[in-house]
Amino acid sequence: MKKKSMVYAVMLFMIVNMLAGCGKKTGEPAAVMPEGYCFTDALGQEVTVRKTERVVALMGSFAEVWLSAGGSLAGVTDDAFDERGLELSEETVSVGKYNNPNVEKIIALNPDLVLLSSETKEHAALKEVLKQAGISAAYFKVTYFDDYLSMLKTCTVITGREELYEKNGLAVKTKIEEILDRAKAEEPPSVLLLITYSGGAVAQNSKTMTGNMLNDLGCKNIADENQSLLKEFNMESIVKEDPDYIFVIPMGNDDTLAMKNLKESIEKNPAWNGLTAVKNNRYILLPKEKFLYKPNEKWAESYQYLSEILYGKK
Amino acid sequence: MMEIMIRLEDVTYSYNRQPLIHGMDLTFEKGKITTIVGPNGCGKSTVIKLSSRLLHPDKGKVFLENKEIGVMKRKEFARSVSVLLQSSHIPDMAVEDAVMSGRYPHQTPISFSSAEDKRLTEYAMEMTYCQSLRSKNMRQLSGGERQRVFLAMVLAQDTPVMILDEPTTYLDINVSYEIMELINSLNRKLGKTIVLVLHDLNLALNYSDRLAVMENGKVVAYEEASDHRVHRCISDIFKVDIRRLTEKGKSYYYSFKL
Amino acid sequence: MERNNKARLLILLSTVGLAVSVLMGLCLGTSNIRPTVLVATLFAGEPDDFLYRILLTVRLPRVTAALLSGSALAVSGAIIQSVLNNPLASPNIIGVNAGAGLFVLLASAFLPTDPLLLPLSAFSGALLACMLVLAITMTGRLSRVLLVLTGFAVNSIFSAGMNTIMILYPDAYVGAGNFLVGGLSSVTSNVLVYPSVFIAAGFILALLCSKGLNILNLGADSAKTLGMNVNACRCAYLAIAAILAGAAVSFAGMIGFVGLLVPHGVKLMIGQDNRYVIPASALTGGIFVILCDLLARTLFLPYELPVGILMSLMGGPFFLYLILKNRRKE
Repeated sequence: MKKKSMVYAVMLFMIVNMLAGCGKKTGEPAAVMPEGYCFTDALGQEVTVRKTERVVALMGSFAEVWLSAGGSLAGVTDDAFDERGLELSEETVSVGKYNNPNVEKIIALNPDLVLLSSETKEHAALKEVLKQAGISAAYFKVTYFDDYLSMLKTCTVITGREELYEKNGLAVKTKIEEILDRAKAEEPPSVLLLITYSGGAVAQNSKTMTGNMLNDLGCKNIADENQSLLKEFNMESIVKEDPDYIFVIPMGNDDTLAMKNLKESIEKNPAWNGLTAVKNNRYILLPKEKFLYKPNEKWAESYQYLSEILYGKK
Repeated sequence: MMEIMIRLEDVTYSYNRQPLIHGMDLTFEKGKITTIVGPNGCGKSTVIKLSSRLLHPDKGKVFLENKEIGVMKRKEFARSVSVLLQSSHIPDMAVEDAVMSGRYPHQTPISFSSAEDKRLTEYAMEMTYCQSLRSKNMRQLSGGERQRVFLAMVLAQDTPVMILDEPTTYLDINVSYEIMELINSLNRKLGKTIVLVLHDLNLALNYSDRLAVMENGKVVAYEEASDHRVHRCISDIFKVDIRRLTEKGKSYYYSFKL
Repeated sequence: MERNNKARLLILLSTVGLAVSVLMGLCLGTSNIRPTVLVATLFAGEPDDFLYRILLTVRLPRVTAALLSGSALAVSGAIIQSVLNNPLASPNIIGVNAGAGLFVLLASAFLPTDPLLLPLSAFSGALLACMLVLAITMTGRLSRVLLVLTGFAVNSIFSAGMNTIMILYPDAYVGAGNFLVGGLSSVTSNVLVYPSVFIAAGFILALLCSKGLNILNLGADSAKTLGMNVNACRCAYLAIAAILAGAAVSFAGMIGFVGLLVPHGVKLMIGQDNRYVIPASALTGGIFVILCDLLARTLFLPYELPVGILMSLMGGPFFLYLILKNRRKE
């Protein structure tokens, strides 16, 4: 019994020491610029940014926004390289996958600011750790163009490059408004927006990025009323609604698998080929870069793409 | 002067609405070996369990030296009555630890083994010839060795009353006799009150002071083991004959089929 | 005495092993730190130094969490396996994971996102689920079979509840998602303070109960004839197990297998004497989780595997082996 009490004493001692060590504050960074920019992020936190020399973005699209705000990046996640093909400097380091960021790597880069997504649970989990490490973490949520605009505004204020907000933000907004003005139809076309992956396909409603674009362009999304389509692909409902246009976005890492599923299960279905949209060549596959990933400063091009399909070139 | 150790008073016990025992009165005498015999299903095990608080009577009371056992504290009862059950459960522990666990009713829940505990454990192993087995695991023992260890466990419990349910079943006949001799000596040397359930009539006839014969939940005979009334009862129920054999001035009884 | 000596040896070895694992866990990672540098940084490091920050905000909490959760779950499993006399039982059986998961989702869906709220809800959920299982079973004399069946039923109901919430409130999944997978990747030290108190208390209680657990090993009837209040004791021991497991799950999420694997493995090596099994399980459990977590974050740098997957990969085959070995014994 003596030996066991000793073992336990040692264990408890170690634990207490560790926790005592953890409790020590990590302290503020040594050099502090007098002015700090303070804003509220998507998680409702007050974020204060002083230096912005070393920034880490945990999502490819956020990396792109930061670059178009004139900033430079010390670290990004893999999707910035793979999916976006961004022009990144030699020094930019990968900190893992966007849904599996390596917190040690992030801290090792000694960043002044980390850009995270408030919609991704792995990012949400880092909030406390980054806080304890004394690193500013700002969460953003970008679904619609206005969200992008707001994020760009914040970023350009931080970088102090207001003119980039004009160029990459307001100018795009103007273009979009022009497109929307010209897009007037007598009757709002009905659309079905599908997203396919290797496991199947589901519909998206007007609350999603592309769905919202279609809505802005005056379309009526059949999944807005028929909510069950959001969860599963129901051929009967689709035949009943018989939408004017069918748009498909292939998701997932592997396009070919998504396409395979599309061709084999959906397109082979005779009911599918009887749909108006399919018969009249209005069954369209949308490119990922414009409609799955956030187009950011190229948002107007996405609107343009859809507008031309719906209303023809003007 | 007959002293009563355990008394069942008007005890009824049912299982699934089937009355196993109804209105039974039975006493076990202090310092004597009392054996219960009877055909399968007659209720012997039920009587044992009622006497050892493993079951509670639906009606009636059980007394230990005039104290109602239902209201006694658990450990207090365990210091007075120990039970050796027909258990198929073989604990995975060393013999010495198993025997020591018999001391539990005498210890507080958190205490370690006292000098007294160690002494009585040694003594129990001595009486049952288990010392050579002390570091072996229970699961490595033969049937006979295991039974001796179980006996040591109840002996270590150091209670005035020991209740043993079929302590010799599945044992070879020579081992059975060893066990019975052991039990006998516990009674003769230490004055323990012993209640047995035995299957083997020969053992019952030759190692008991009193015999209780049960059938269908009732005690149909309860006399000295040498009493011919009890022999007649056994003969009727089991359809055997009982004869006496005298050897070197001692009487032995045996049963056979004419 | 051979087995007892073996037990003592195991405890000695695991103590050393634990110290080594802790050292490895602190030194290895995306940046490997030499032990001398480690000590220097820990005691005289500067807040600006990124090594210091990594050590204090990432590795130290993480290794502590691994140690605490591993040992707590192992001891919890050891107790449950003893009480239920089932060598394949684990804290899951009495509803710990299901209760924790459900309450975490509920909190995530309906309550504001306070970082300390999730662990608290996990803990209370775990305890509530266990209490429910115990309460239901006590109406029927706490038989072991009834306990397992009730645990299974409660698990199913709570899991269904969890799925319902995830469908109705998909946002809840974002906050709670990491917890549901189970992992130590974002553990911070403030989350560990309360659970460590409960775990320490649980260890002490478990050690004190080792004698009673040994008596239970003799069988319920034998324990009764020795004067033990079997029902009350079973309840009390399971409550201790629930507290240990609930505290562990509150910050480590739903990691399984430790509670099953480690105590069973320990018992195979040194037998069922709980006076040795409990400390040995605590030590080996800590080692197991620290090492699994280390592998999880270093095998495919900079990517991190979920610790649960690694434990399943290592635990799955061992589990099969246990089942087969158990079958041959019976």
